[in-house]
Amino acid sequence: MKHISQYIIVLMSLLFGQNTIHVTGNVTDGSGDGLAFVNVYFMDTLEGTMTDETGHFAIETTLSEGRTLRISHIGFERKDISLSAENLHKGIQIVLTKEYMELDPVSVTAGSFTMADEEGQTLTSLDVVTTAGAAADIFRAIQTFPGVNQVDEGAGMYVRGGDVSETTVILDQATISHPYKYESDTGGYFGMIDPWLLSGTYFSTGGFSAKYGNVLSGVLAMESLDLPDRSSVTIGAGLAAVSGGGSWLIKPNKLAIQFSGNYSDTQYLFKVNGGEDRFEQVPTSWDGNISAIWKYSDVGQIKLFHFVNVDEIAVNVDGPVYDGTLMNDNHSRLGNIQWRHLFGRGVFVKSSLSVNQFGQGLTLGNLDKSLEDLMWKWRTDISVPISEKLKLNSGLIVDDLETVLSATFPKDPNDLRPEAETDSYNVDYNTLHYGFYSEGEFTVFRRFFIVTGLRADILDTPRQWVVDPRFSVNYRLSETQFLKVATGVYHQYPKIQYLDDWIGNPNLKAMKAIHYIVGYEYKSEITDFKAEVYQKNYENLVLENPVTNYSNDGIGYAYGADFFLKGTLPLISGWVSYSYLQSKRKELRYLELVPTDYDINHNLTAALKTQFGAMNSLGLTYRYTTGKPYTPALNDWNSARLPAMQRLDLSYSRLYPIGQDGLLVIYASVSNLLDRTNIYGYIYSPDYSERTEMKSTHGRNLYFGFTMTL
Amino acid sequence: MRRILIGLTLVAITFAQPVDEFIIRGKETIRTAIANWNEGEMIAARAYFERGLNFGEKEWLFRYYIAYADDQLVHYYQAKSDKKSALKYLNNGIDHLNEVIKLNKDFADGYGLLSSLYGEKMGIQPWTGIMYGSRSSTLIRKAIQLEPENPRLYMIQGTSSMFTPEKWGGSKERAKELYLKAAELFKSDNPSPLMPDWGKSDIYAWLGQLEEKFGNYDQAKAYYEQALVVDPENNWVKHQLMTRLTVKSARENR
Repeated sequence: MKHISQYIIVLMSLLFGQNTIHVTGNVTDGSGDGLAFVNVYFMDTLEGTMTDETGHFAIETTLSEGRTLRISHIGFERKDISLSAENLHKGIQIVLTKEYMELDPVSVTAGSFTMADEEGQTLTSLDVVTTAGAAADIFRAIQTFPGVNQVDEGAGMYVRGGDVSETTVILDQATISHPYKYESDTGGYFGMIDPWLLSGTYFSTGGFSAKYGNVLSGVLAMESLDLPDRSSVTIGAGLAAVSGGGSWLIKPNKLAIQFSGNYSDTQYLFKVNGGEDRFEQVPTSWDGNISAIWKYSDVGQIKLFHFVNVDEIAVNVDGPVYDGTLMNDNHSRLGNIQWRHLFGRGVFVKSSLSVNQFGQGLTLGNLDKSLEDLMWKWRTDISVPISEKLKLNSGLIVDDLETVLSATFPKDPNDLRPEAETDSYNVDYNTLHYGFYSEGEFTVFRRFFIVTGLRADILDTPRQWVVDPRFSVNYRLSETQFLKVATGVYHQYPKIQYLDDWIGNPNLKAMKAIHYIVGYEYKSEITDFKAEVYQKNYENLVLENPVTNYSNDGIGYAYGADFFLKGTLPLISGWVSYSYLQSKRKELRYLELVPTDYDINHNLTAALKTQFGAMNSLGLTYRYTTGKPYTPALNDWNSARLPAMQRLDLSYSRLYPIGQDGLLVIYASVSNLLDRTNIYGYIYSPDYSERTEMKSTHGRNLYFGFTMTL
Repeated sequence: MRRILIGLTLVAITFAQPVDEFIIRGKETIRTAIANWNEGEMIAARAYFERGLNFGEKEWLFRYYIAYADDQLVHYYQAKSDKKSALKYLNNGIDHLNEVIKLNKDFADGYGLLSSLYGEKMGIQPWTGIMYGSRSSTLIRKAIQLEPENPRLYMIQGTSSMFTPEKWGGSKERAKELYLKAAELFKSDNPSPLMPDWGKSDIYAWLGQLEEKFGNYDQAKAYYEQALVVDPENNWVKHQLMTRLTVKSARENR
């Protein structure tokens, strides 16, 4: 129809020979300079021209008022002008504004980092796996970001003065309630998910949107791989592990199966590097995963993902009053089915049903703990574009958690002798949690972006509900510079054992944090600089109470500043991050406001890489962190600090292409190159008269291996 | 009344296939612009196809030709060492071609040109290799799967093989095989007037450059001459490649 009317206009002009007029004007950029080679044309007849070197244009035409003139130039925003008698008379003055590189709003929101093989991301997957000292582990690579404090040699994510349990880990909408291998109180030694299985990762150190609930400090949300381009096989072997995997593209662009498995036994690692005598059972694990992806149409797909992990370790612990062996074995499993569909008008729906199972056995002296967790979760997210300037995101979450926890533990936490007095408890806890959120992404004007939303969480046992407003603003100062502000209320339910009728307090409320963040970012194709300051206030923290076991009288705060600089120079690339943190809490056994166990004031990391020749890459990661607080005397909580920790890791890799798409990578790394013995804590006798040091488990440590993809 | 009837007849002729005529005229415009190796003309040709999007028909083909003009401008700015402008047009071309293959999933030339543009992007920004290397090779394979007799696809694949370092699987011998295959296929290449038909002369320019790399200057010259037989207006060959070869041969004979 449009074409017919178009032709009729032209036809009329041909037949009845209206008077010819000259439409003239000038096109300039924001600074007033004329723009050459700008495309200027009428929308209805395709009559058009280009501006000359001074930005001037002239079109001879027969039709005049009411018509639309389009002005378009690469690198600038397109403009449509409706012709009026006035602008025809005076000449048309057009100012074009520069078009900015499109960026995913999420990637420049306060507190966020993104990882994927696309432009505009903080890191690529290759950055993640080649970070020296990260052992190809995404959690460890994330520890090199500002705002994440490393409290020991593990992979635990302590985010901006929050405890490790205050960061939630999500894969394809499913929550992984125990995301670490060799799980411990400070997290674990590695993350559960292989970075090669991921297509995209979002990590937030605070100020995150209403999409994420039941979490106080940080979010790590990962997406597993989509359909591969081709079938492939990968094998790998190293000093402590063998692995294999593959992609089977059954029908291109339609159906594929991907799988991988890994068996790790560290006995040779310790034989080569020493330290085997510290273990009764060296760390051993196996894991496997399989996923199937069916793209049933151009707009919809179903993905099944399943992984299993089993690990065990038995390490000798020398204490002042008791020498024994800490035995820890864990098994976990995640099954998830996810459906994604893009409906008409850009309505996007994602829905998943997952089951996550975790079991742990832990013994040391008179401590004996056994835990079984089973979590079912259903989550649906819907994204609806209302207009060019507004998108609405909403979601519904229902999860069912069953925890069976039984433990015998020493009455005095420092007395682990088998003959010492103990208490015991058995918790069988089951609860339903419902979450709902709705948020709007508003492009107020071209440079001004707001995400604001509200979420509600309801817990079945103990019955309670909370409402969290969230708000973030992003203002684009120029093509490369951003100002960001974020704030929000965050709630998280206490750990299960604190809610038990007998040893806990079933009336405990959700803990609460309020985040305030102000940040600046400079982001160009080769440089990314972020600077943020923040304040977090905590309320309703769990505090020991002589009458009710626990109460919600705990409080706390954290404030600090984070800096991140990533860049590429001709010979060297990488990133440097620095975090300043002050974190104090009155929580659990700390009955006064004192520095937290993870109050690490200064945290500096430099992760650098250089390439020599096309195929050789050398990486170096240096970390410096001030010592964390410890308690040197009874009730003198966290009044002293451990010595500062330093560590230098080095890695080398060489690539050998095989055929058109195959690749062999050989690698070697030396962790703790300076062979520095860092102290991560002390074990005290019950009267605090004696102590032993908890030191690095690894001195200088060599590792090597290869992976081959065909 | 007679005037109206004549007018209607004229219009019927003029707009019998206005989109097709518009495209054919645009192809000629861009051919001339490339032959003249003129920045303004190339941008004007690009602008012409951009206007064509207003037809609301054959969007995939208009976008393809916009991207083709973008690609020529990338070469133009690279030759002038203006990396910023080259990247601007390169990214624009990639965006258009990604739309092209969404709009017409069976359009082999769309996949082929996109593969080529990703290759050029890796050349300008080597660190993007990890993102686009595999995608580029998948696209060209897909294109050849769709149209195994399309000579432009082998020319693109040959160029990729010529510029890819050997350790990454590149091979000049393989490039030559692909170029010769493309040259052979060009002899019987007879696409519809609307469809891409570029490359008939350029294939000999590429073969000539390859022979230069092998040190076979006489053979290179023969290929350049062949390119000019196919298209006497090929200024790239006439003014750049031939001149370069003459200087190089003179230096080596000194």
